[in-house]
Amino acid sequence: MSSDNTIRLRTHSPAGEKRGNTSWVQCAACEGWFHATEDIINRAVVTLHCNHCHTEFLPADAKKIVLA
Amino acid sequence: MSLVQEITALQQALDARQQFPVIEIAQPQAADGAINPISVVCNLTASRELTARALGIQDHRDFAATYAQRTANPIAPISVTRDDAPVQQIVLQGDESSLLDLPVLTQHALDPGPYLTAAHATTYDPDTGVDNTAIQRCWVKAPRRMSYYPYPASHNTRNLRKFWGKGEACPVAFWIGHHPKVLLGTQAKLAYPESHWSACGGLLGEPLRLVPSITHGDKIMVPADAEIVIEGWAPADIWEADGPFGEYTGYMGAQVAAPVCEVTCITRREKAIYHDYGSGHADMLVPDNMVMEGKIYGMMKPIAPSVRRVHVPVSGRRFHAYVSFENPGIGEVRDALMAALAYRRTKAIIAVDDDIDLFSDSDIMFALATRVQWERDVITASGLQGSLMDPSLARGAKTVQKAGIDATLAPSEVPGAPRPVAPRNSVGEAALDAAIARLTGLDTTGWPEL
Repeated sequence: MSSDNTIRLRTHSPAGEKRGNTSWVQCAACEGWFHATEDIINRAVVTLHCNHCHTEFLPADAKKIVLA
Repeated sequence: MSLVQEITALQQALDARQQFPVIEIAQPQAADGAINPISVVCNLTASRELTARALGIQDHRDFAATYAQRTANPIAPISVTRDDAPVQQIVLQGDESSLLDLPVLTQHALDPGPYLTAAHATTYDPDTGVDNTAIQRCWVKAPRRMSYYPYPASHNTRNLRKFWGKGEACPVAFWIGHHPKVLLGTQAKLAYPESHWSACGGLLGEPLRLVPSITHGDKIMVPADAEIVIEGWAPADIWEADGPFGEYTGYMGAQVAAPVCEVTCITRREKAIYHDYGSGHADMLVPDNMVMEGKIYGMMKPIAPSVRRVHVPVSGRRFHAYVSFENPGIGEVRDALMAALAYRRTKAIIAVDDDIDLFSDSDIMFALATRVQWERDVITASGLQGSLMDPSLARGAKTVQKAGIDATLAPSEVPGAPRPVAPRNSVGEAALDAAIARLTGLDTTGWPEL
């Protein structure tokens, strides 16, 4: 996974503040977003599958990744 | 009717109307417009009342105690030959077998493709030979290939890891369709390694009939009276994307890395029926939750004899459980709550007296409103195993926080004297009966609702 397509949301959560727990991937082909576990993204070699346009691509080729 | 969303939409519309008939769709239409000759049945277990009656239980409210008792008295399965196994009336091996010939639904708008939702994956522990069975979602990707998702903490994952640890493919068989007694028996929460077949026998009241699978022989037995069986191997260390998928939580489960099954054989009845569970709908929640009720009852009853009934409501997905107690002693309710919080699936357990209707969320809210002081009556525990699909989970957390709420009234402290709490207000029984009689037959069309 190339770091320039990835944003990691901050993990520090002040008491009482809610922070979401879902990581999102943006498909480079259709620009649709789908959510995936950090585990599959970090594996780097498992092909992701866009549920909008069915394009398959490695995390490094995602348009954007937002890790929670 | 189309296999793409239309059947699930019907279930969603019926759920909203609180109506739960069994649905059979003859000649369903695939995404490409082709008619499939195999009928689809869903909502088989969407009604608590029907599901309980299928198990021979007249009152669904008594399900927990009966399920706990029957699964605690297992009956060993028996083996039959292929000639006596309806599920092997048709045997399709190799290239003759195709998942695309089954009427597999694409349930929700964001699902990436068709999923088996009532496929019971049977694997075995290579160390002991003991089998395990669990429902697993399976994404049909090609005629002989599907990904499937055993939850990381599940017994099927343990078996998979053991085979893969030796560099071997994991043998697996997925069977679809059976009597509700067997469907609910396979969901019994057992130790590892422990076969579900005997629990099924306990519910059936007779041995479950099994037949050796075509691919794996007697290493993986399958129910002889099932509708369809898919056999294959999960090749070692092969992971593919699976999901997003509409889950029991009511949210889409995230895309995960999942093993795949390479299909070697599909067997079925000559007139097979394809069973589908509407994921996240009453169809799937009701049987799952009723099994949880049996588990929770079995955990609490030895500790708290005053436990009467358990309800895991569809409104709480699988996260909430309501438990009623009959005159519990001081400390007894909290002991029982502590015991059941250890059960991985629970997130909040609410204990009430038996004057509260466990099957009315409104009654539960009444108990919470009038019988709880939060600091005194809520037990919270963090760092426990739970569902990682809970959208409220803290970022990066691998464990959950749970709560037990004692919403019972204070117990009596003097034998023979009333509990030291205010009595409930109500009209007399005769006056209420008379009022109901006055309203009976009256045209109330257009009257304001709450």
